[in-house]
Amino acid sequence: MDVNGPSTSHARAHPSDGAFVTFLSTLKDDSLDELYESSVWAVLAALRACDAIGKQIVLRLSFVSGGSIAGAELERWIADGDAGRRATARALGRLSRVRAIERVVDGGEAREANAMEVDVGTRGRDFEEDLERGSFVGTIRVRPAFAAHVRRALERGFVGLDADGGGAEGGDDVVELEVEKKVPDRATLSAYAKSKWEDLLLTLTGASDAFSKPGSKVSGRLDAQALFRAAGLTTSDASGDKKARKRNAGVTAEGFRFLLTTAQEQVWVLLTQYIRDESRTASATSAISFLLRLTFQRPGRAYAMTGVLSDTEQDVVRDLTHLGLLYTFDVKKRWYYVPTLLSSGLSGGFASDDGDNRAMVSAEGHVIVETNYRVYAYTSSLVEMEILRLFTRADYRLPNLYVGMLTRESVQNALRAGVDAEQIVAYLRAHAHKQVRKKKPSVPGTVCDQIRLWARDMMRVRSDECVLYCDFPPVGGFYNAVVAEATKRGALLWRDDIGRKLTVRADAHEAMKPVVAALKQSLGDT
Amino acid sequence: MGGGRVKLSVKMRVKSERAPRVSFLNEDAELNDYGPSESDSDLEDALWGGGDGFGDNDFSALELKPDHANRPLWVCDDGRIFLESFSPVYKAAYDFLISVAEPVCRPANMHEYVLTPHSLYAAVSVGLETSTILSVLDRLSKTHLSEEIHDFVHQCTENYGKVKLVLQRNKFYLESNDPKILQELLQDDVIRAARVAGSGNASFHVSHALKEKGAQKLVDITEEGQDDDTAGVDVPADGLDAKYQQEFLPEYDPDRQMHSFEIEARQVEHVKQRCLPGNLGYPTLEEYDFRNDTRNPDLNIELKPMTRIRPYQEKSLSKMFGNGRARSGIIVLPCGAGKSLTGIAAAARIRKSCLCLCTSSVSVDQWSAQFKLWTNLTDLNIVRFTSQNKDEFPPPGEACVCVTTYNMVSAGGKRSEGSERILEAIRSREWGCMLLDEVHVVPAAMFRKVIGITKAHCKLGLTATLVREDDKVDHLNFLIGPKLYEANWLDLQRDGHIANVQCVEVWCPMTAEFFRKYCDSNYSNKKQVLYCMNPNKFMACQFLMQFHEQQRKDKVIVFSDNIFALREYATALRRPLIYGDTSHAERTRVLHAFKYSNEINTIFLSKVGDNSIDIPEANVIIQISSHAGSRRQEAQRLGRILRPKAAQLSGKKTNADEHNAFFYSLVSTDTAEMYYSTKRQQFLIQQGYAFKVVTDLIGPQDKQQLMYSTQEKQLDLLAKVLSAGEAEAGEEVLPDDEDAIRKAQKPAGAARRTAGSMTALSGADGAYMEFDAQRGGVKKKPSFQRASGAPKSVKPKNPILRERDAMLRGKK
Repeated sequence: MDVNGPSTSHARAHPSDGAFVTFLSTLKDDSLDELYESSVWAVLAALRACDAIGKQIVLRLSFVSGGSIAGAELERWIADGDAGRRATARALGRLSRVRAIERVVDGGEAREANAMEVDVGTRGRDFEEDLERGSFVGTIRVRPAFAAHVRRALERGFVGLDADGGGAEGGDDVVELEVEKKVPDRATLSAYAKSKWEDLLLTLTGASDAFSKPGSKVSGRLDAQALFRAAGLTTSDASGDKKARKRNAGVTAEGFRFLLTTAQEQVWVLLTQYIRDESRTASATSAISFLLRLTFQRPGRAYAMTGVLSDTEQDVVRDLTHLGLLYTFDVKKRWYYVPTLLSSGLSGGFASDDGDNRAMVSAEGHVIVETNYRVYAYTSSLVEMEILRLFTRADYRLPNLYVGMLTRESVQNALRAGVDAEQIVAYLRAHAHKQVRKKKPSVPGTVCDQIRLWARDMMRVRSDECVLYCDFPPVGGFYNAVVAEATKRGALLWRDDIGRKLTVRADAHEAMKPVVAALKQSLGDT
Repeated sequence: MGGGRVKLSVKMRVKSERAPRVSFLNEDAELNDYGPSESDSDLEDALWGGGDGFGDNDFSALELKPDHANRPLWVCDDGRIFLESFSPVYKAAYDFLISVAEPVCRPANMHEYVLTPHSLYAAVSVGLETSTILSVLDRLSKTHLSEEIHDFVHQCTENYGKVKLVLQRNKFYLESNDPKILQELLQDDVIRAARVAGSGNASFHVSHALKEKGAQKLVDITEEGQDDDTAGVDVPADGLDAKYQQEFLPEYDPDRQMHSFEIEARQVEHVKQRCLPGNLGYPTLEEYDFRNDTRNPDLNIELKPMTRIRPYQEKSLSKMFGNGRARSGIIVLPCGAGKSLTGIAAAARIRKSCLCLCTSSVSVDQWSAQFKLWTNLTDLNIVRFTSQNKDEFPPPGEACVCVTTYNMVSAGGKRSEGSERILEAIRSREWGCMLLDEVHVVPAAMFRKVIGITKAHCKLGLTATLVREDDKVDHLNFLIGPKLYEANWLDLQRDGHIANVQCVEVWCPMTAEFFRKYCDSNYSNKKQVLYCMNPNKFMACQFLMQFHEQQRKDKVIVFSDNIFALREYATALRRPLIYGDTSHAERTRVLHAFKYSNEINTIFLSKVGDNSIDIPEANVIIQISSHAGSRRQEAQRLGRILRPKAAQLSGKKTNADEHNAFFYSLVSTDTAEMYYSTKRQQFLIQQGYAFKVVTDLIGPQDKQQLMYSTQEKQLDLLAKVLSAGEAEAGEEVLPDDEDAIRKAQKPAGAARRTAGSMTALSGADGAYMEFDAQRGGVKKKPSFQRASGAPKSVKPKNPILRERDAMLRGKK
């Protein structure tokens, strides 16, 4: 299976898409089609990630014969004018990006069929063009495989969709009881997932080495450091052992941005990278479809592994356990896994994409920012403190409180490391404590402004490559003629009439050379 | 906090030579600093310095209590306290903390305090005992208190507040609940000599101690977990007084004993001196049993029935009269929150002669007006003593209120006959109560002198911006007394007791020509005037002034420390100005016109307007130049517009977020002003104010209508600035009461070539004052005139008014 390169994935993403839709839209067309073909869970996950209008369109069309509707007909579904049209276009765009629908233009030929190699980034863009044109053209059709899976799921009431059944049921009662006993309660599970994920993030910043030695804790093939490197979050400097490593050494700008995003986004960034790596060794489609199936399994419930999952799938389970997405245990040598809340957020719907209120790690805000630039965070989590330390000066640490200060220095250090001002503000807002969330804005406006001003401060000096022209003869018009010429070409950056010096943009130098020579000639002659 | 952090347990020895202290907001420098130097700016703020890591400040090992969520605060080993202001028990916790700790910052959600020897001294002196402090602190804390905190509190409260100097039935007693301490004191020769003979050597008077109701109330409140305060409801003064009469009558506590011995009245000052830290280390608390003072005549003073005392004023008074006696101390309230009423209410409760000291003759007038406004006193009972007014004292047997300036009392040199007579009257009287206005501006040497001259039983200091734990506060703590109460600015704002101010910092880029000169080392002495006169700043000022005058019908004050700029701005914009050389009569006239006329809506003030000029009508301040990084000046200036506005007073519920006053600070970007500006704002930011930065104030279409919008005019202005004389272009040095006070503090240190420093050098400060005030009168002494060195070019009169005068003369 082929997936697009890591660095481009974010560039292609549509700004309003969440991590999951972005992930799907980075898959190659035939891989994605193959996925929908083979896995009902992939179809349902894609559908779940769409907004209400998108879901509505797919559900309606799935039961229409041929699964298609004329654009003009679709237009009549829209009730409330322009806003509705915009929302519909957006939904269609998204559906098209995940290849749930296609557009058939006159002649019955699918549009994309003409251009199989069309850049995936342009998928769905034409619906927004439609919006400008004022109407949806052609016929819109749900892809047959997609529609078939939707129909099947609905008809069966989402039960027994897998051939193998899944779940721990079917064993004898004694075993079942044993299994029940071993399943951790929700709080324990949540704490387990959180601590795993935090260890992972701390490994990224170099504050922990829990993940540095592969296989030290759980039998996994997963090398977190390699994963970070491959995802472009760290450079090779980061792989040294903890003592040799300085705080945050080797973390790239991408890595700092990663730290400031939501846990849900983080899971997907790492998983897409994981799948990319996986695609070299085994069947990625099977891995992805298993992953997506996981997202429909209930957190806190045990599912059987041994004898049910394929070898590939069992490997995936081990890796995900290592990351804290799953919890595994055995009863009489039969292995079971329990999805944690981390994995449940994976393909979360549209609504949760903009905030992280549903994501597990930061379900509750903990940060209070005061007008005097003090930052108080109700936390004892090392990761949260590490993240705050990226852009605040750490002053006090109490059992359940972190006290820091936003200073010009601390913020500019973060900016230099690659975080941008908006991200800092967004992080503070997203994690605002419930006490300040009541107020608008949750982070004082003056503080946000100041962070931006600090950022602006760093951009006051611009550097241009240039060439210095000097040693002009003290008399004669040569100097002035060169200045005039440079000005004419817009290449003059600086001049000093008394010292008779000027600088010219480096890229204009080659063009200036003959001109200067000619000027020298003509003026020298006279 | 780096290496500078003081480990409490080691260095905070209370018995050391000087009272130990955490190095604090170093306002000390600022006091000295009302000159052109920048000395305070480089001092690192130890309280806000941060480390690379947590270092010593990692207190994660403290043990959380299981029910920590219900408790409002954390106590760190180094004395730092964090308080959640959204806790249900916030009010009670605040009242307690403000008595035992020093506030560091009090923004909206989380407050920080720090326990210091001084703050604990204050706690002990209002009647809180070591064990009570610790148990209440422990009850409120989310974590268990550490050993360090226990040790620290014990150390700090060991000596302080244990000995009281009480005036009871016209006799002075040294009082303590621990007879051992008294024995120890008696080892000292001075004290032994001061003891009234005949009362035997070994035994002390034993009586029951007074109940500390004020302190008890604090503890009770935190215990109940809610406060029974009638917050927001104003209590009518008469009703309140009745309540106090009942509640705060001295009452004996049968469980505790008090030991005391009498000392001779003449020796009181020596005894106090001996007890200070550095000598015996038992600073005495002064208490005045005014109800039983029959020697001094009563003052017939009553608050008028319509006088309303607000809850926080009541609270501060309850600290002062906590055990039925009057204790000396300092009350800290924001400007505009009714400090004078608090002082007057205290005087009305004591009902003895009252000496009120202020910083300038304008505020003398204002204080006497306040006395007449709130109480039944008339001119007959109020004596004003300034260089202009020398009211006659009533006969010695009759009580009165005397309002004067620090300078008038403390000035040395030869005094006029009239002054000498009044001074003698002040010296000879026993004052029941002494009100000290704006205590933060007055240096210790002057206090010593004032206190040495006058005999007052109870001293109450009032200020908005108490200078913190530096040398000067050391002195205040022992010369006047501990801080009794400090109100929270944000709470008062929320309850509508002070105006809701929008603070704005307006960035004015320097024009290219001005900036070139600013960077030119040939003009290094012109830097200040260059950034003040920056044409972009001028336009911003004009724009804001016109906007507020025309659009909002506001009253605007423009502040400038730079006299050249002040005059240029005022003349160009055709508005009246007041500065040091403006005569008292003219000041009064301009202020009156500003208050009552619709014609004059903007006045330009130099730093004479910083303190205690009460202009309740003003609600906009535009600050074009300021005194370097002075945090106190910024707060004092803001105070000019903090008086609650009409809408708030009329009881209308205004939107909490709606601003009704505006404070603009105009800053020339890329100049020293930027740095100063950040520094200046610190105090207010720690009180919870937020400064909004505006980078583009004036749109291009507005710009055309403003002065100095063309390059040609800007260049003219530049030429004018550069040709201005050096002395003229500098910062104002006030030849006024207030500034003479400051100068007295550093007599020979500053060899500045500015007006007035000569007087300081010649030691002619005080004398100069008097003669200056009567300039043109009989006593004019040419030699002094010259010594004052006022540059010829400084025209003493306000140009606008002069113009008007000229017109009037023309009519004649």
